Amino acid sequence: MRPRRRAITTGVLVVFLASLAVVLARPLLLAGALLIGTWLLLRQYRFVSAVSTIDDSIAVDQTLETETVAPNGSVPVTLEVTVDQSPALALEAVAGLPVAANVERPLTVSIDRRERTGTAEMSVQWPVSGTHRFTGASVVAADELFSETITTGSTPTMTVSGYMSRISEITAAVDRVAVTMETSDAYRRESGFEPNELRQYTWGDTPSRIDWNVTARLGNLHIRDYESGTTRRTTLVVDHRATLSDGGPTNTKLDYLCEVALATNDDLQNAGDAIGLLTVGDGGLTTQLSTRSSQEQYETIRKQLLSIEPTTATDHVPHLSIGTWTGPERTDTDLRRRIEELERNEAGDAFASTLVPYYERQLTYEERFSDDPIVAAVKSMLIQGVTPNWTVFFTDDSYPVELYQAVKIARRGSTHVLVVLTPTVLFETWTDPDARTVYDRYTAFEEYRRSLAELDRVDAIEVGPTDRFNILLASIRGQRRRDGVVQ
Amino acid sequence: MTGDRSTTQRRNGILRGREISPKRPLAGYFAVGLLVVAFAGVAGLSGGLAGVAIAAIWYGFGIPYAIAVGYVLLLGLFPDGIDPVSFGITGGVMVVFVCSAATGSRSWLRILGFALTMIAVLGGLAWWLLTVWTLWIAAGGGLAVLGLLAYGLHRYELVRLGLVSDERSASPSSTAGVTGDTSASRSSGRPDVGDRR
Repeated sequence: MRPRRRAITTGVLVVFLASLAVVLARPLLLAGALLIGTWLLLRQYRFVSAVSTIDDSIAVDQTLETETVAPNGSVPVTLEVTVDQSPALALEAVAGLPVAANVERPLTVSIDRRERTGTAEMSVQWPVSGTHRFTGASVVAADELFSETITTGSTPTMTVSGYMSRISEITAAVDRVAVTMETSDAYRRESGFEPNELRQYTWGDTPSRIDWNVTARLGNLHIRDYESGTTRRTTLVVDHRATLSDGGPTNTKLDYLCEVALATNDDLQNAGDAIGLLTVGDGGLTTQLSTRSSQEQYETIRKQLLSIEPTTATDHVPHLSIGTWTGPERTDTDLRRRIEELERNEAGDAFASTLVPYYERQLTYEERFSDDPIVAAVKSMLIQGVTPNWTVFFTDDSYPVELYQAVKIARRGSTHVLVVLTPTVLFETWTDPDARTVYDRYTAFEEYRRSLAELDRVDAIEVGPTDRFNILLASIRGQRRRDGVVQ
Repeated sequence: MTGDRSTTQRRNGILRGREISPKRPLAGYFAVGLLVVAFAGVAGLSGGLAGVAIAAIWYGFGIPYAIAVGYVLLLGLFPDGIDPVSFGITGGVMVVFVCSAATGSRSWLRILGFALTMIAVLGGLAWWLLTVWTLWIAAGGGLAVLGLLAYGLHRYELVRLGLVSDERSASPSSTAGVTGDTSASRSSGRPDVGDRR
């Protein structure tokens, strides 16, 4: 309880009157002083009673329109105050915004003695990355003599993240990419990355990089940078051909892939790694950005990924679908070895004379795919002498043979290749799903993904809508139950 | 960092600096009317004029100033000392005047009981101190008891609202990666453990 100006002056009046009684030797004035003092006690008791009633009946709700936002983004915050009965005191609630929130003025709701509810909304800017928890709203109850502050109400949490996905399902895929590419901070700390310099926390830094010991010592948030012995270069190859437009109007294959690509871009930015970008449409290469590690480069790639749209198929190029995938082809070395064996052991033999030209044709196998945009893009990258440590493909399974070839080519110039794949079967509309057909197609996709992952220095991960996957699983289980009944 | 404001600053809401005009309940008008009549009864015309002056002070400045002016005017009306009957009448009217502040509340009866008890306690104490000791001891004793009662009410409120924290068991805590004011405990504006970050 805090006495307001009127209460203090009344207290002074009591002391003055009592002093005057002593000075003038008139006990009558002391009676007046004690009566005024009693009046002050009465008002104090009345205030305590009123504020206790308010404390029992008040409901304060602080709500955020969304609980995640990108740095410097704004989110409307609503403060709603309700009391069961009209309060005997004037109330003013001030939202318990975190210190990281940027507002022009406090978000307040005032409730007069005749009101029972009040609401206010304000757009709050969030410049600092991290998780920011609201405190309870401070409710000031006051009459003309006293005031009291009660902290109460919901305490929501706002997450400000450099990478903001609008598709929540991709989190697992993003994590797997980070683990596979070893961009996570935990990995860096544990696997030979040397701690580099300390610097102050700035927006865009992930909270996990805060060095809490240094922060405690210096009084400000500090980040410790890590550096590896060599600079890592990564090239993202993003496919945005017409087949990538499959899926719903909001979440197409390309949406999923771009979200993962954006997250990867952010991870690499946090790690300070160089990054390049190739985007491939139906007509061929649409964007080519050589690997660099500047802030401008990360921003350019981010904008490029946010604006990317599926291209339209100009000519129908016949290709083998995922269902016809029969496994990896023979390598050129295998073919050459086989030709040499045939020419050495069975020279002049009809069998050899038949097979050798066949194998020789196979040696030019790669040429068959030169027209494929992804293969052409990867080849052009290698021709230009770009040899990234990591080549990351973001594509679907519509062109499995061509992709397989592109991965093999990319592997020649890269230390590692990562393929982020969307299964077409999960993006199609199942009007009357034949569970077995869908299951078979998904199995074919999974086999294809594994065949990619089995290649040396290649990893392949799947990204897609988990709800469709769950429907697929449920449909398969139902089909099996029905089969069991028939049998 | 923009927007970096202390919680204490935010708690200083508009109400802190805003004057809230006092309400004048109907009982106040009744009490002040009674007071004018009583003053006129014990001191004649001059008493009636004094009562009107007190009523004006009450209307302009409130009950405490009206009581203070009333007792100062009684000194003038009775320069040689007030007789017990007049003292009783004017004192009784002043008590009614004080108790008029209890009306308008939902729990007015409880507040009225509290006020009458306080008047009895303080009046009895002052009377006893005056008869046994001197005036200045009675004045000092009365003020000291007033202060103690006010502080007692303050502590009662803190307990009632759950604003008292056990500072011995509290310790600064932090959650890695989570920022925000951790003083979620209720506070009356005093710095508590959670505020010390």
